[in-house]
Amino acid sequence: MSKVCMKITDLSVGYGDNGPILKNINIDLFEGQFIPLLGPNGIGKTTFVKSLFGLIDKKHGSIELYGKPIEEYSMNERASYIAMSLSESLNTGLMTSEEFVSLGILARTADPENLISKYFKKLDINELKYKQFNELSDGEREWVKLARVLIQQTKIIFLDEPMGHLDISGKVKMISILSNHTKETGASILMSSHDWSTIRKFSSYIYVIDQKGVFKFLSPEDLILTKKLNTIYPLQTNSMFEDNQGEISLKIEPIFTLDIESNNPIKTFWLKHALAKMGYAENHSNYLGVIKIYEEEFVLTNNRYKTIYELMREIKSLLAQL
Amino acid sequence: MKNNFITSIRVPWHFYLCLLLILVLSMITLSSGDIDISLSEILLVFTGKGSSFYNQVIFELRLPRLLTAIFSGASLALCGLLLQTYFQNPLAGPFVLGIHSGSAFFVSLWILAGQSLGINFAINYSGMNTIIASWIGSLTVMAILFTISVKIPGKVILLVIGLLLGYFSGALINILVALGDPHEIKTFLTWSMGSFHRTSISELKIMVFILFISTLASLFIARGLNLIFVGEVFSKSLGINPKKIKIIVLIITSLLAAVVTSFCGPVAFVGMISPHFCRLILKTENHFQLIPYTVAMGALIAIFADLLSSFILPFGMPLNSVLGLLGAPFIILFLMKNKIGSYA
Repeated sequence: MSKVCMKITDLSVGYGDNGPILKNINIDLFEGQFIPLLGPNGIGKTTFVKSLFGLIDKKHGSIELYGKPIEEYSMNERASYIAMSLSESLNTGLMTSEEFVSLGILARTADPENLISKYFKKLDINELKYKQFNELSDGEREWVKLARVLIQQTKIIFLDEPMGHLDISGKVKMISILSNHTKETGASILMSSHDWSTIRKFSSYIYVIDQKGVFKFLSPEDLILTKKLNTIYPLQTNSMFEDNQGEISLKIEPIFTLDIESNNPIKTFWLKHALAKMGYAENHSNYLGVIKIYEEEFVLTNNRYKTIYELMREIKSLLAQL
Repeated sequence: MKNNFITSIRVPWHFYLCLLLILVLSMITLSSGDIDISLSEILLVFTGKGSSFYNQVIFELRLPRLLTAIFSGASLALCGLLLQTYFQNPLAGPFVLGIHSGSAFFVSLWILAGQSLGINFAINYSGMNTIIASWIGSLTVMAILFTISVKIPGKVILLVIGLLLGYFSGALINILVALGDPHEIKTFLTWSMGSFHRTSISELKIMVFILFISTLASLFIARGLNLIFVGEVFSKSLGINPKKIKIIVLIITSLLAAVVTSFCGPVAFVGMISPHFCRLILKTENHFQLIPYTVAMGALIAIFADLLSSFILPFGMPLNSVLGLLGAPFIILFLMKNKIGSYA
């Protein structure tokens, strides 16, 4: 097993005289691990991350960084072990991305320009280098903020919602960059996220904070199999947990059924995916007929449709006549 | 690479251009006046070969005034830059935030109180005791601004509060003026219009000393300034304690404003405009570059304004009138260009 870089024992954190937000946290952060931290909105993920750096006084317990309590490190020493990017608003004025990234360089470096270029290349964001930071899009900013964190070259990295503004391909790119980074440098990355759908696809282990503020370390699949996803993300009155997809989705009143004839399972899957949103159920008294799936088209009662879109328009008008 | 924030001081070439312009404007200032002195004669005076009359005019009248303009302009500009960083507000400055007025009030209070206690101060609004009174004033205003800015964040609100503080101390000053004797009032009013020509050599030494120390200290904390400019938690996460930096800034800015105010009166807008010009020209927020450049720019703007106020315009226009005529439209243009909403 790799080395423990941070040992958190029996930690409770919170603000002011109000009771602790998070209680009894016991976690070991290992070198070379990239682990997402999931939890409902407002449960205290950011508070937790801030407390690990010593920015918030803890109520109880201990935080050890390489065997020594975090309080015994000076701010400067902490910054040389832990880099973090919080989702606070940044006042960057006329700063370019490059200048912003260079703020992360802690010590005098022989060739800072080269170092900066290296990280812009690593994240493949060279085109952002000379742009003014506050004129970037939200997604672009996340990349520049990540470069700023990585250039600090620390053993531990805390990221707060780095994927919040990224599109799907951006999310995949960030996850692959971060997991490569842990392999290359042996760094430990803790990343808070709201994006359950992405995380469950890519992460083997996750930290979760449930609605009661209890910490757990597990695989996302466990949450699905034990049907406990709703202990983390509360189910609304019109939402439900779908255990075959591992997602929370909208409850839709079943209003019709139809038969599907097909030998193409993928097309069948996505056709059902579309039908489900219209109120399709396996058994219902409203029977609309048979959809036959062919190579090039869908056929419903002798009418041919090239796309699911056209077919859904037709079904919608059929439903309106009911 | 053009700019970077790494821990080294990079002096931009604009800085040298600025120095050159300062030199040119200085020569013009020295040569013009009631008696015109030619450039060659100025050179003779500086090499020790000038006539005793010219020596007197240059060394006793024009040079002190020129140096006062240079150093107070530089001090105000540095003060403005630090305030803008401290409050993360591009429109902050010692005059706009009412810091000058706070100083002015304490200085006038000091003098009036001294009189009523029977102590006969020479009413020249300078010397060590007025610096202290002035400093108390600037620190008080800074402390109030700091407390309020924590409670009500907002960039325009800060300026409004500065304005109100200015009015408040202005009102108090008016009460003092109403109570004072006519001779004193005249001295006070001339002082309050701002001027570079009443400063003695010994006062200049104090000013240079404070400016020198402040510039060094600012360069010393430049990395911290770069970081607190971006954000408080941000700077902590990079190992800088924002409180330490802010206390140093508080001391430096209040000192700089106090010294200039007590020697030259409240000089408007130089502190706010100079850092702006530098930012716009260099297109950077890097204090390692901004500090030296802003200091030079402040000196340049002050000489220019002084030159305008005393020689170029047909009648001796008060310095603050010149600065007000230049500064106020600048602020309005700036606000319009940057859309005021983004600063609220």
